[in-house]
Amino acid sequence: MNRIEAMDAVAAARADAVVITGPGANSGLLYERADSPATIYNMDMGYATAVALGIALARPHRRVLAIEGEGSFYAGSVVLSTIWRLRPNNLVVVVLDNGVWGTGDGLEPTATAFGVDLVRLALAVGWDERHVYSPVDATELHRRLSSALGRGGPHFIVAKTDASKDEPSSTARPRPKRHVLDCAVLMRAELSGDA
Amino acid sequence: MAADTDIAESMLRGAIRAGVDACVYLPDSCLMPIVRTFQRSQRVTMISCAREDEGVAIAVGLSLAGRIAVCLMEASGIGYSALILARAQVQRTPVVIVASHTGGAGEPHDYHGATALLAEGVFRGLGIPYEIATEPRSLETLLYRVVQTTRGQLTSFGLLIPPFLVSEADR
Repeated sequence: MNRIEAMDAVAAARADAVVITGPGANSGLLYERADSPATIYNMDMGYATAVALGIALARPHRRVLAIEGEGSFYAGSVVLSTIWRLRPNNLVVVVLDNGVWGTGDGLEPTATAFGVDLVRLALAVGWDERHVYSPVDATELHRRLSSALGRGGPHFIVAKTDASKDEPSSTARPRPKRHVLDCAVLMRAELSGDA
Repeated sequence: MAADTDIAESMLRGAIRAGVDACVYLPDSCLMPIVRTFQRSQRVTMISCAREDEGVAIAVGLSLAGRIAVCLMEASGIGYSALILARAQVQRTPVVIVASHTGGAGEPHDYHGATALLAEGVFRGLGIPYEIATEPRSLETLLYRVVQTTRGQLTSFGLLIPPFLVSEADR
């Protein structure tokens, strides 16, 4: 599975979920495939999942999805323990793990390229293995994510992707065509009638 | 001088009056009476986090969803939180930071040196308004006013608390 196939699967499963995406390619790919007012793109590194957690706690009847690359997620991965302690059943976290930083020439390896295993990390901080998945292809990713968004969460999905098929340079990526301020305004409006 | 519990109750009254309904916190020796008072009140959703910047990010999510959150932390956490505070300013999803320690008088311990040095620098650098509390009896109104500005102007706001103001042990 490459990144584009993974994001095709995520976009197809999204439905009406509130989405916070981390920095980089995943934001532009989602914007092109499944944009909605309930989306914050390019949240700063390490914080997409924590912001999603805040929304999930505030709006327990709304499905909330965080999408991050493994570099960003690992930078803020203490949030795994907080999520499991609070256990919002409407929160799903998807990490697309291609083992390289999604910046510059896209060749610099991340921690997962040197053995860091995010699935085992989740289990180590207490997650029940029934809430942690590592789909092997886009079909399974779509199935797992669709099921996870049906509640019973929180859920943590780590999908390994093949970086060799990604666009070669960060400058070649699609980018969301909405300012982060406009995203926040739209998100607030979307959620204001949703309590 | 008011007792620690009186000050904590005063802070709670100010928070409730301002509409605060959530609190993200990390334990801090000065602010613990406030944390415990908020917890006992059962009027505020209490969210304990693992790092202060994570907590601020959670508060940004709460803000996006229309909740009014206060972050309670030692000021050292403001240093960790500079990036997410900057994002909160850029996208106008403000948070209220109540932090112990200041760059002013009443900081006797060398191990708080870095903590005392950074809070105001981060706030100034990001253009985030802040106040340093000076009078325990003013804390209710001060917190109320801080939240009022945060909501009205869509800017984060810092309220820095010198240790001696809220902790009997530091007087």
